[in-house]
Amino acid sequence: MSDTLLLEAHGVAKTFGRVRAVRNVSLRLCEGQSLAIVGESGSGKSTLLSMLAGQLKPDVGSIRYLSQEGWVHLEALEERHRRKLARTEWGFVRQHAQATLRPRVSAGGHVGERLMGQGARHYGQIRARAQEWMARVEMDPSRVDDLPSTFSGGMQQRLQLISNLITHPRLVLLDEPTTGLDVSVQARLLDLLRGLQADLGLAMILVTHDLGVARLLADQVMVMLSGEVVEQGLTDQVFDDPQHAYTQQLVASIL
Amino acid sequence: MNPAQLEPPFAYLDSQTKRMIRRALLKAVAIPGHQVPFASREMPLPYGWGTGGIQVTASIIGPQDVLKVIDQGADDTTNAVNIRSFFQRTTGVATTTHTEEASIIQTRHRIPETPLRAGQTMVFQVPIPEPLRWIEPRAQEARRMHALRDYGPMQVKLYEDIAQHGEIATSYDYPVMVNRTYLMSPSPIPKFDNPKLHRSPALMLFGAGREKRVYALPPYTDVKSLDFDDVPFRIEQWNEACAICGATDHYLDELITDNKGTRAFVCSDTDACAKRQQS
Amino acid sequence: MATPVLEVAPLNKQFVLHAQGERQIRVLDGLQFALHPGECLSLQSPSGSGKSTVLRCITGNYLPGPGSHIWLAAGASRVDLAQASPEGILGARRQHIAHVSQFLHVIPRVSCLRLVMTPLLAEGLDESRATRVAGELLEALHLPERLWPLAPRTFSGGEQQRVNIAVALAASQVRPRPLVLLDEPTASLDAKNRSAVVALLKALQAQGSALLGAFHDEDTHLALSTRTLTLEEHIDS
Repeated sequence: MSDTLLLEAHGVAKTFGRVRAVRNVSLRLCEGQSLAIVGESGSGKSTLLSMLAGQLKPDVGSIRYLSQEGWVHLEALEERHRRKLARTEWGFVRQHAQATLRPRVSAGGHVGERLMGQGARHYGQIRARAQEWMARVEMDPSRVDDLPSTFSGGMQQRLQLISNLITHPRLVLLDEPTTGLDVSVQARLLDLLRGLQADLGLAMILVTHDLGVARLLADQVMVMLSGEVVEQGLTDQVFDDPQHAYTQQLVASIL
Repeated sequence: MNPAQLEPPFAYLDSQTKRMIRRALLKAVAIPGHQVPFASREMPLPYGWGTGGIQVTASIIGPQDVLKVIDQGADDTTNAVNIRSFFQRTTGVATTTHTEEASIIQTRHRIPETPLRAGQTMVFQVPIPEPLRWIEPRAQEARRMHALRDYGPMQVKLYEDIAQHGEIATSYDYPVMVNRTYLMSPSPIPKFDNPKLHRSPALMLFGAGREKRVYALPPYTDVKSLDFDDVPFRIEQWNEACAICGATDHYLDELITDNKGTRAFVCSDTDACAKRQQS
Repeated sequence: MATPVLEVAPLNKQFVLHAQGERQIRVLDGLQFALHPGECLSLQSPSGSGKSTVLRCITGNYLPGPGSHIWLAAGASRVDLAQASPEGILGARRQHIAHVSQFLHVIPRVSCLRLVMTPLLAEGLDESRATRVAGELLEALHLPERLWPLAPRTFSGGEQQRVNIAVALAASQVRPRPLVLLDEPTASLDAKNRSAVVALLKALQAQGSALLGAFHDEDTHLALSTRTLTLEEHIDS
């Protein structure tokens, strides 16, 4: 982990009609650091994540990211540039792999897509790289030509994950990546994620409602309620010594 | 004035329409491979029968032109005959079945075997101009992909063909990159004909009536069929020669000649076949 | 006297329980002390409260109260842990502080050998050397080799605590940390294992580390402490 600032949001807000989904959020993330954003439904955490991923423009405030070519402001980013970053330096993992994986594209096609988008044109090499990554997340490389529907939910998530990681992104954003999976599958996926984060030096922003997931994966945590950040700090400190009433309530609600 | 005495305009379309289509064609020629929208007119035949190609030909044809019309390579199929006679009636221009004599060649599904020369114009009938149609169903997103040269998904589709079938399964309307910039659909010609597009001395115009798009390849444009470095583009090959003229380098159609299922392979390009037979 | 490794000047801590009608519990008020290299300061509290709080405030696991200053001298730098940024605290935890908690505090589902190796690898040791040093440490704590490939979740309390200690002190085997915090380190151990732990800690003390500990067990306290601090004098009750 370094002290190099990678992502900085300042006074970010987003309103939908009369709903103020996100109000005045600021955050800083350094290279290799992981941040969990916890909150319940309606807290604004997913909206915030979308803005940090450049998928949604904030109404107010600024978000800047340190790309290979210098600082870029996400709220003013050209579509061409945004797509390039989204496919090289960033990764985005959604809760439901089916929302991302295309039913008629094989595992290899998914994993190799970013490479092909960058101009890779050697079929054998693309397929081999895909198999390497599959092995890395304990998927059977001989299943490289299999379609997503033939994989279990946990495997589909791994597939979604490695489709993002193949370009060695510096920042990975995850929206409830293990929610809905069987508990043992969740555990293995989280362990995998932790290992990959350490091996690849990924900076991670993780949205979750599960405090246990935040504890396992994140150095720091932000607690959101009704669009605002009510508490933030080191994960162990926020959960072991919660200051805000809502945080205390959340911690007390752990089953 | 007696309405019965009004002549239909030259080549059926009024001059304003022709100017509109020619402006669209000029744009298309200026940006090779890029689809240009145009206000497709009602023609005296339904969509799916070549209205786009007919409108393009009607906009560029002049009294000195010599017109050839083919359908699947043949001058004597129903559609080719009808379209040729349509232009004869509305323009009075000379028509021919000989490729080398024509100044405009309207075609559906083939490029003639006889090499084209500078000064000739090919007009292609195109059903679906958008090469990304089956990959990205949203028209707006497909346009953005062209604008951003975001063609990864097309390469993924070819990857999938190889993964599932061992080779790229597309045999016609095989996607091409124009000037290393635009992804283009060459219309439903067999991939056998794709190499003829590369740096051709002829002007290639493409018209899609139902979809209301035209696009173009000016002469000597780079056109490369998509492939992989280790799975290169290959054209079709036959073990047989043409049963009529003996050609081994022409695109062959397979015909069933009797009720016992006897098969013969015959040139699809009737003009080229006849020429080879004579020599 | 050498520069203190740790200067608590002062430490205030109170808890506000919002669910109990904003009830306030003040645990520490104006606590002050200094700790020098080679010393072992033992925290005593007849009422039982406060010792763990002091240790947790220093590591940043608890948020020190307003007006607190916790100066940590490490190498050429001096940092106020009570005012440091989260990144600063993480850095101090990694580089300057060894912390032995009271209960097993490790990532689940990882073998205890790998748990002990991880901080060694972070110190720059290669795989084979890290494996060797980790093994030596586990052996010194009398943890049988058959347990090394297993995750400690299923171990006995005493076994878990020894894994905990090994993980906490692993990095110090490569580079001793200036500050070692001990929260009831030998509570669940028998006499033989207690002496093994004491031996490890004494070795660190001899290398110049400063120890700050809450020792429930009298033997450990006697073996290590050079000073005691009774918290009752500093607690507002």
